[in-house]
Amino acid sequence: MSPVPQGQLMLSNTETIPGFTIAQTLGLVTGSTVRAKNVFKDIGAGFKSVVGGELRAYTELLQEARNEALNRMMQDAMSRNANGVVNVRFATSSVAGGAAELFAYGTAVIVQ
Amino acid sequence: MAEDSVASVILAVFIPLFFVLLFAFGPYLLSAVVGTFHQRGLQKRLDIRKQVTLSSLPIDPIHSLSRPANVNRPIQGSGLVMANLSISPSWWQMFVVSIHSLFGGNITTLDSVIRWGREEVIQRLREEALNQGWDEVINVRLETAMIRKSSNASNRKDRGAAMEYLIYGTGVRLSPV
Repeated sequence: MSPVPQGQLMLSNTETIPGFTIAQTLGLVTGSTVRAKNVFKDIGAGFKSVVGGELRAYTELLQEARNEALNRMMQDAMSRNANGVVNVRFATSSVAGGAAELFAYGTAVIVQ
Repeated sequence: MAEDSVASVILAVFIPLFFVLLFAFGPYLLSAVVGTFHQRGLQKRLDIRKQVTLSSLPIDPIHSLSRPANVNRPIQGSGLVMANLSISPSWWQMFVVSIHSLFGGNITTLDSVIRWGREEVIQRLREEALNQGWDEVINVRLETAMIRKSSNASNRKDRGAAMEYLIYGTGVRLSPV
């Protein structure tokens, strides 16, 4: 079994962090962010949807927003002195026209 | 003189009618022709990328089991891997869908773009995992979210719909045997 990395938060969407055992569970940690889309990018995406395929502006926007939500979740976990978050899940929902909420949640744990 | 008036009536009626039809359906025709070629090209490039990646590996590195498929090698490290993609059908496809939804049934016109989107995002996860140096990605989950809905009744301008695919899993690094 490899040593536990110091000062680093390990993320996993499985029940445990592969290769380690959970010593203590610290409860649910969450992070969320709401993003609205840029009008100019939206117009560009509108043109792109004439032919279909990838809308790169949306892909990047949602990627940034999801990373932000994930960072907030990790800060929540670190404030509880966790060194890992297991069973990470994502959820997306569209609130008021043109804005989306990106949500990340998981269980903070101390592994050894 | 009768022939002249017939000709002028034809000119006065059919030429404006032609332009009206062109402006009304021209974008859809353009969308049908260019969109089909564009999407076919995307699928073709994806197939090549997929073949190149898979042929360089003994097994497909991503799967949805909760532990590594290779049980003989101990786990050295792990981390979260994600990839996402937002796609939209073409205007033409949305138009066909709106016709289809009157009668119901199988909508084959959307199959191509939906299938491309799913395969593309799976391939992106594969590439992301290889870039980050993971040997396998376990517990892969795929999620779909509607990020933009077409509203063809209330607002004629907004003909596009968009959906987002998110794929994530836990990358594991295995020790060499």
